[in-house]
Amino acid sequence: MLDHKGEKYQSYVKTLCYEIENRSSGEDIETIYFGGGTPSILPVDLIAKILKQLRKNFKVRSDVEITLETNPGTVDKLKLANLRELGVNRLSIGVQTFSESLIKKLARGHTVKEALDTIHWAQELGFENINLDLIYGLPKQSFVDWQKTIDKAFEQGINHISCYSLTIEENTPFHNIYGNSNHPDLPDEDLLFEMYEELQRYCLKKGFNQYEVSNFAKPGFESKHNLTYWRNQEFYGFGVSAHEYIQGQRKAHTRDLQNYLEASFGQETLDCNPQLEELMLKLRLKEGLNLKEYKSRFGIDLIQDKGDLLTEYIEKGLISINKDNCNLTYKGFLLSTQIISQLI
Amino acid sequence: MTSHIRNFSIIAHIDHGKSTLADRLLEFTNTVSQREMQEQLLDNLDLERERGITIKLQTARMDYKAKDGKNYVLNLIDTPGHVDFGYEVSRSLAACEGALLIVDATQGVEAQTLANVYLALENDLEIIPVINKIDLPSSDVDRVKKEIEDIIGLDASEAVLVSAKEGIGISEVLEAIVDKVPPPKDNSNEPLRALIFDSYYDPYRGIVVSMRVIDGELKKNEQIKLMSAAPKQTFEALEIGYMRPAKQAVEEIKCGEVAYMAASIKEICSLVGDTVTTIENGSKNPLPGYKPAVPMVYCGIYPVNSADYHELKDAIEKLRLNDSSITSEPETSAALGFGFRCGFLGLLHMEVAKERLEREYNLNLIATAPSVIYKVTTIKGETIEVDNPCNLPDPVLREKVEEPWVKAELTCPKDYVGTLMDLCQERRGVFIDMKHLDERRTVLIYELPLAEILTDFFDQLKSRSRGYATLSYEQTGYKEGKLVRLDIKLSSENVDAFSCITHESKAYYIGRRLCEKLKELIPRQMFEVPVQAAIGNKIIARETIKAMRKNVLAKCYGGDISRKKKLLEKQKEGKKKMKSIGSVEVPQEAFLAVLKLGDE
Repeated sequence: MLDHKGEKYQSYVKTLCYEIENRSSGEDIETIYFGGGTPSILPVDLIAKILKQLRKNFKVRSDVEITLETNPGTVDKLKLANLRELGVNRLSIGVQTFSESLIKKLARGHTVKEALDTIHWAQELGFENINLDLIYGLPKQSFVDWQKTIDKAFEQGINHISCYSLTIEENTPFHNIYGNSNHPDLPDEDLLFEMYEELQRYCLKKGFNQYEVSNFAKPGFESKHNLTYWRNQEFYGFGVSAHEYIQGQRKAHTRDLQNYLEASFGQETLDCNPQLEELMLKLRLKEGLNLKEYKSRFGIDLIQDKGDLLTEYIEKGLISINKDNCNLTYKGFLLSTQIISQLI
Repeated sequence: MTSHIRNFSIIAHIDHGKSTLADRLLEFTNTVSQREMQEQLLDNLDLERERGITIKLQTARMDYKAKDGKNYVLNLIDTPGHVDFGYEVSRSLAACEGALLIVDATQGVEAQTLANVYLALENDLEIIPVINKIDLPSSDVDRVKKEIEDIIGLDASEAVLVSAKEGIGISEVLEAIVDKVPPPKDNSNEPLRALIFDSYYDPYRGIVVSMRVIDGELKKNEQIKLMSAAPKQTFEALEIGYMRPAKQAVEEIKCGEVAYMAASIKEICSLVGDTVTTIENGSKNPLPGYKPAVPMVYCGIYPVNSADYHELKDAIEKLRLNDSSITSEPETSAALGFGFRCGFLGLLHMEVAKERLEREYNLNLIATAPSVIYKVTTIKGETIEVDNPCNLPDPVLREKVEEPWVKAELTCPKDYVGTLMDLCQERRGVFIDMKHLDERRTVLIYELPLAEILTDFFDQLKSRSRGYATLSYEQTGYKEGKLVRLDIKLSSENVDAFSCITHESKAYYIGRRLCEKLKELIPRQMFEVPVQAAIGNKIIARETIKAMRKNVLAKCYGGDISRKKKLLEKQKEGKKKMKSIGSVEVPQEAFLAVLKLGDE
């Protein structure tokens, strides 16, 4: 049965497969990630088609990590079973919050029950690698609300948590209501700090590593795919609004579906500043930045150039330097933007 | 022959419609077509249009065929209306034989109008009263006529009735100019003497001057000299012409005319008030110049980025060419580095000058708190003048401190007398007199310390009187006062740029407000920053800027790092607009905080 939407999916996936075939070079593939928007609404047969096309055109390794971003309410248990069958072995579930009243205001179109169902079905089907996406700093969210959400998340026995503070983007309904940041319903800097720190404490207690500014995982359950981004390594991007980093060039696909379908994928080259990117991405990781490598690649000796600043940060316990490695501490993660902007 | 020339300016109180009338005259004489007409054409600077005030004088030459059938050349020299810009007014008046005095048909004669009328009378100008805004229902022409006669002492029976906005009475104004303004004296046969009344720097032409030919004539390419700035140097009048108001080059400028001249003058020096004459058969005696303007307010001007010091130096020199009432001396500040101590005619003048420097020369600047000149007698009996609070000697080293006082006239509708008396009282004012101009309006006369007028007195005056009150003041002399220096410390370090001299009775209040304001304006740093106000070693107020606790960028979604990069770059860019004082990053606005304490 094909309704209007179905036709749209069909033609999109057709172009997507064409793009994969057209741009492939037969390289090794270690991770595949379906993300952006709500990829889980795609029918299973179309996801199968995409995976088949990838396998045909690249050397997809047998231990490949295949992640699907899954929004509660868009999948049932049968669909999850079929996806698992196809090789999807990691789910990133967009829970956002376990508070019934807050989720309503987020207008995500799902309920707390749907989120819990999705997690449970996945676990029953044997998915081990499950991430929950959580948001803090929601309008009127209290510290206790946040604690309850964290509690509930850990109760589920998952292995990975991604956690972001609400960012209000321009041209969104949220922006119309709350403006930029000083709205009284929005938590202030001190409360946001407490919320973030609370999550850090929980994770430490539960044996989760904060391996990146916003990502926490049990050892061995880090997202291999996202590590690629943060390690400043190259990756392909296919489809509408996908980004990629290939042969030293960063590119973005058009965000407009029609444009994507008509204008041979509508790719646009982005400004690339490898030095800034290396610093900004790697310092987000617990494993940090290798200073020797940085010096040999960009000719910049951070210790020499920013010695005073680094000393100050070390004294404040924001950064630690071991031999050639420089990384932010847990405390430093909280101020990462400030620190990185001073180092660039 | 000069009988067809009329040189006039327009004097008016701010908001009485001077620029609008000027626009109508340009339109009516087809100097500027309707299509080209940009609202308030003579207000050239962006800043003037934004603020709705005239700052710089401008000139325009109009051709007009009068009802007597003859063709006339009318030169309009526009003048600023704000009290701060009196110097510019006196310059334009010296180049004219007549002036239109615009009086608002509702508001009537204002204190500032009087000051400018006196300037015009001193210059022997023929004054033509023009009553504007007669279209407004609140207008009362008879009352205003009576005021012109009673207060100014001018015959108002032939006052021209106008609505510049509606275009009523424009031809009558032009006829009055032709009939009443005397033509310039015909001194064509005398050696050339031209009075420079304005100048600006043009990167291609060098210094361009505006001048009025008083005696003789000037031909293109003639050899000339500047009688006081460079009597030994020879320049060539490479380009001469009229402002219509766009430049129109001509071959010759005749006696009585108003013109511009570019003569490849590159050296930057003050030319306003100078006399131009020819090398061959030149005049021996320069024209009387102007009374040099005396600055009343001083402040330090510093580049945010210390590397811009030389650009700033250059910019100030160029601006001074255009506005010779600004004075400048190099100075250094421990907090801000190298900069200049500049003198201005008033607070608005200071703000405008700073903005012009920033816009026209693309600089990021910091202006420190304005200060007047204090006279300090030391225990050794010496008298020193202090224009920078940092230079005030220690209390133990000084015998007394004197500050300048002014006699201020506040004119307002009688309903506001009470609130304005309160204002003057709060500002240490001493009541002198109260006069009733008529049934409606009252003039309050107070003596006030000049320093008290410099902070937001004018804003307060306007807001408390709903814009009706006006202010004029003149300096009367120095009086001793219990004055102290208030210092501000960030992280226990004195920040000299924040120091101010204030009356003892107000130091606590100002100290507390300053600390509060700075806490608001200085963003959280990586560490806690105590903000303290001190008199000598005594801390009188304290606030704490808490340390920054969290600053994390959100998602780096699907490998899209462009937004994150932009944010980091923006953050870095924002830092450029901050001044590092010790280890504290202070935004520019914080330096202005000192000025705006009154808005609680």
